[in-house]
Amino acid sequence: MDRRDFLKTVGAVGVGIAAADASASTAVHAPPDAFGVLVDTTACIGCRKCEWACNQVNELPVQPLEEFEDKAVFAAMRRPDAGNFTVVNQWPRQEHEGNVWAKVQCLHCNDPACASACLVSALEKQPNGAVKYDPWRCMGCRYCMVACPFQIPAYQYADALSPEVRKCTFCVERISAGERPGCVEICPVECLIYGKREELLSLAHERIGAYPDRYLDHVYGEHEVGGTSWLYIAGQPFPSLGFPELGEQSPARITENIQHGIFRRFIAPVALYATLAQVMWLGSRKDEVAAAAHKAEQHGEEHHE
Amino acid sequence: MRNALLVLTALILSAAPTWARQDQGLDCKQCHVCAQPSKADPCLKQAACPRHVESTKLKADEGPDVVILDDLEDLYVPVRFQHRAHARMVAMDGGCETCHHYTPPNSDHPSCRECHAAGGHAESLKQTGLKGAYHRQCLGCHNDWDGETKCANCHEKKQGERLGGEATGVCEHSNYAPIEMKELIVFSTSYAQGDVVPFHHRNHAEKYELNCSNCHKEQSCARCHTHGAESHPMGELQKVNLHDTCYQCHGKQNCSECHGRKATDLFDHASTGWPLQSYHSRLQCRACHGDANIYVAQDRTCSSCHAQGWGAGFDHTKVGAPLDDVHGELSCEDCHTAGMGQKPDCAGCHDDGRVYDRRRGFGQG
Repeated sequence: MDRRDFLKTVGAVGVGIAAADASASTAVHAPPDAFGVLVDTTACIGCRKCEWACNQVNELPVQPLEEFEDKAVFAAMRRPDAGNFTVVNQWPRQEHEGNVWAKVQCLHCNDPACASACLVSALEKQPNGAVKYDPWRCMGCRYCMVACPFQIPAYQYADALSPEVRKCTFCVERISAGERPGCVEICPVECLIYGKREELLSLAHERIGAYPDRYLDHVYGEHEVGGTSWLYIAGQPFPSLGFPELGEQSPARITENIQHGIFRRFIAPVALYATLAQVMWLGSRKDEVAAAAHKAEQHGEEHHE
Repeated sequence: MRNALLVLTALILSAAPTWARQDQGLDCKQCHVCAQPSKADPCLKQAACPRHVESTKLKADEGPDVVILDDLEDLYVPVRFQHRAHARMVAMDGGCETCHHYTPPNSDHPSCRECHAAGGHAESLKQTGLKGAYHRQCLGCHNDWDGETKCANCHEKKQGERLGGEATGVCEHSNYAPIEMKELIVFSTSYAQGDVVPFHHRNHAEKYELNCSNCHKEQSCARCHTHGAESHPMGELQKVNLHDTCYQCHGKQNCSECHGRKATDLFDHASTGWPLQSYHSRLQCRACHGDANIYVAQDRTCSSCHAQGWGAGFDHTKVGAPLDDVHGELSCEDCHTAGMGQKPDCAGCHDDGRVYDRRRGFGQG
C-alpha cells in the first residue's frame, strides 16, 4: 500500500462513520402504550401533598404530613434526593405579583440518557413509560447521575453496604395494577393528569389552544431530549420555572452515535489495525532496506579494501 | 305527498335541538364543530364547553347564605361554605361568574358536580374532577392571600361518630389582615386651579354608607386583605378611572367641588340651612336622603320622615328630650298642639307661662 492507498482507506472509514452516525440518529418515539402525567403548573398551589403522598407510597424517610406543610423550604430551589423522589419548587410569577409552583421528579424520558449510560442495564425504559431501576443489576458507578439532563438520579451515599440509585419510580406497582401514581391520586387541585402520553399531548395542545392567555404554546417534554413521559404546560417560559433549555435530541443519541459509529460493521477497528499493520510493514521494510543498504555498503567497503 | 311530509317532519325534528339553543342566544359553533349536531353525534368541541357562557346575571344576595359540602363526610366534618359572604366579597372582582363560570342562558347555573365528575380525571381526562374543581375555586384565592394550603383550614378532621349531615366546621381561619381604612387621602394632581384633592375615605365609607365595591372594582381580594397590603389598593391610579369613580356621585361640572379644597373643609350640614343636632347628627345620610346617589333637599317638616314613627313605639329620647313618667302618659297631641314635630305648648297644662327647655328637660319645675 502506498501513501495514496492509505489516504483512500482512511477517507472511506471516515465516510463510513459519518454514514453510521446518520442512520443511528433517527427520532426516538415513546413506546406506543406509554403512560404519562401532564402537569398543569398554572393550577398548582404548592401544597406539597404530592411530596407527602410520594413518601408514603415509596416508604421514604420523612412521613408526617406536618413536615410537608412547611413553606419555608420554598426559600431555596430543591432537587429530588435519595429520600425525596419529588419536590415542589416555588418561582416568582411573571407579569403578576405572586408565585407559581412546579413539581420536579424523574420525567421518564422516551430515550433515557441514564439507561444509555448504564453499563449493566440496571435502568430500562418500560413499555408502560416508566424508566425502571433494578438494584440487583446496579454496580454503583453512578454514570446515570452524570448522564441525566435533569440531574434526577440520587445515590444513597450514607448507606455503606447496599447503596442504591434512587429516583421516581412512576409508581410502577400502582400503574401496573391499574391505579394512578400516588402524587396524581392526592393532588387536591388535579393539576396532575395521568393517562396515555399520546392523549395527554393532544389534551395539552387543546388546552393551550382553548386558553391562549393562560398558557404558553409549549408542552415541555413533547420534544425535549427526544420526549418525556411527564409533560408540563405553563403560563411563563420554562427556564423561569427551573426547567433546563434542552434540544430535541437525547444526550444518549450523541454518545451512542459516536460509540456505535466507531464500531459499526467493525470498519473502524479493521481500518485502525490495517493502518497499524501498514505502519509496521512500512517500518520493517525500511529496516530491511536500511539493513540491505548497510550490507551492500559493507560489502563495497570490503571489496574496496 | 306522504313522503314529502315525512321528510319535512324529519327535517324539523333534526333542527329542533339547534333551535332550542339558538333561542337561548347561543351560537352553535361555540360548542359544536359540525353544522348539524345530533344526539348521537353531538360533535362537541374537544376543549369542553366555553367557560364564560352566561346571560343570566346572578346576584350576590340571591344565593344561599351557607352551602354545605359533604362529599368527604366519611373522613371530614362537612365544609361549611359561607356563600353569601363570599358572593359579596367577589362582587369587587369578577362577580359571581368567578366561581359560577358556566351558566347557560335562561337557566340556573348548574351545580359543580353536573360537569365535574366525582371520579376526577380517572373518568375524563378533559374535565377536571369534582375534587379539583372545588379546590381550585377555594385555593385560587385563599392561597394567594396567605399561602396556607393545610387541609384542616377548611376540613375539620372527623373525630368519633358520624355527624348527621349537620355542618359544624367553619372555614373561618381568618388570618387575613384586617383592612385598615384610611381616614384621609390627599391626592396631588396636575390641575393648576387646585392641585390638591383631599378625600375623606372613612367619611365616604361610613357617613355615605358606600360599599367597598362602589369604588374598588375589579380588584382581587388580596389587594386589601394581605399582610403588608399595597399602598394603592385602587390599582394603577389613572386620571380617568379616578374621575369616573367620583363622578358616580359628584357632578362633573364643578371642578372646585373637589380640587383645591382644604383637607379640613368637610361638608357641614348647617350650610344647607338645616344644622344637624342630637339624634340627626348621628344618622347616616341615606337614612333621610334615601338611596339616591345624589343628595337632594328633603321636605323639612318632621312628618315627611316621621310619618310612620309617631305611634306607640316612638322613642322620644331620639329627639333629644327623654320623657319622664308623667309626660310619657300623655298623647303626642296634648303637647304638640301646633302639629307633630313643632315646639310643644306647655300652656295646655301648666299655667305659669313656662317654655320647654331641652337643657333642663322635664320635671324641673
